[in-house]
Amino acid sequence: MTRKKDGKLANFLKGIVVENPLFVSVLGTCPALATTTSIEGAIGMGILFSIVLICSNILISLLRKLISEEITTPAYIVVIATFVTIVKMMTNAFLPELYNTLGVFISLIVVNCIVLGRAEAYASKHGVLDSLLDACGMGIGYTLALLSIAFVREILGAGMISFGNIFTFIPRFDIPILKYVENDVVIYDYSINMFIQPTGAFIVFGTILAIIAAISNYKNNKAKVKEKLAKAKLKEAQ
Amino acid sequence: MKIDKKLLKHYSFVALVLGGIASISALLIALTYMITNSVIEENNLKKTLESLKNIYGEDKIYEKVEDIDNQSYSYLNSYYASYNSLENNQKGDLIGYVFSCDGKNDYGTIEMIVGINVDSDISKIYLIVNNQSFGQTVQNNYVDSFNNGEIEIGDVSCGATYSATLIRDMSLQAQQYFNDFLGK
Repeated sequence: MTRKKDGKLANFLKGIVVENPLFVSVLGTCPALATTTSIEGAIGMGILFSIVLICSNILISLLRKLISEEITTPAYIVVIATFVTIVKMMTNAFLPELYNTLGVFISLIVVNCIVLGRAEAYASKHGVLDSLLDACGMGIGYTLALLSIAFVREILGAGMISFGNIFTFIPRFDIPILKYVENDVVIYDYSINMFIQPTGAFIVFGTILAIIAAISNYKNNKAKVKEKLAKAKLKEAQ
Repeated sequence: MKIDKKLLKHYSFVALVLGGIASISALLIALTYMITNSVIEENNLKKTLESLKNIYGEDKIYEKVEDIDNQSYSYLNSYYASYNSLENNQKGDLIGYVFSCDGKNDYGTIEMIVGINVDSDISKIYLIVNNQSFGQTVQNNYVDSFNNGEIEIGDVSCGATYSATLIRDMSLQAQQYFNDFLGK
């Protein structure tokens, strides 16, 4: 029972860190670069992406025995496109600012490799609960990845973190960090506008990938050294 | 010709499944459309009403007159009358009409409003949606310059000539509508 529970937890957690779709699998990079100019935009994109991923994973898992091999791709595309259209209409109606900010990138979730990839590789082969956990983990992982890029870009590019511009239901407020404005007068401004531009997106994304690769290499090397030491000790003992 | 019944059954099932998925998808989308359409239209109207202030100013009264459904004026969607505001929010003299238009070319779409004064002059242009490839160029070099009185409506050579031509055509169509139906 505990092992089963651990399996479910591992299934959920793998998408967040070990198999993070953006930083480890390097999938869905186009919206990651385009929609991360602000933290609010990144959260919005992450939530919409997660909703589509969860709904499509559940439905595909439910229909997995009915969908035969010949029609997997068209069937999955229809399912994903349906949820994307629904999410798009809902966003346009109830969060028009988010809809205007994300623009074409909401529609482009249809062709996001992560959604189709999880449908093909996971939901079509596993039960509903497992597929739901997988989608939740991947959705959270992708959202956190977007958030980390947006956090760096907004601080360096805009000099402050702003809330309430896209999610208008929360009161508007700014957290000044590199830029401080009082009564429309700029007191100090050390922001670098380039980080809001596409160039900044590539630099931040590349830097994060490099850091992750460095940590991963360090861990691998450490494990190898430990293994060698253990072997040497064993030889000595013999 | 011998028909493989097993194969036929299989493909019928496959077609049925795909047809079923497509039908349910269509139903879901239709249901969502029914729920969201009125809200989206309300949002768009609110956005248009908010943008009207950019033509004759915030202190004026704007009233929707009617939607335009005329093939000869394909760019025009609806128009609003603008009045001076008197005490107690009473309507004063008619200043002009604001036309809501949208158009498309190979470089994207434009949604805009254009004010036509009572003397039939084009007063101001305001772009609500500007998805043109050279959107900022047409805004700076054509729309802003026209609004500041630096160029005439026909001076479309601005570095985004196709976009400017679309805006010019929409504005002239609004002026034509005014002359045909509203002018004295």
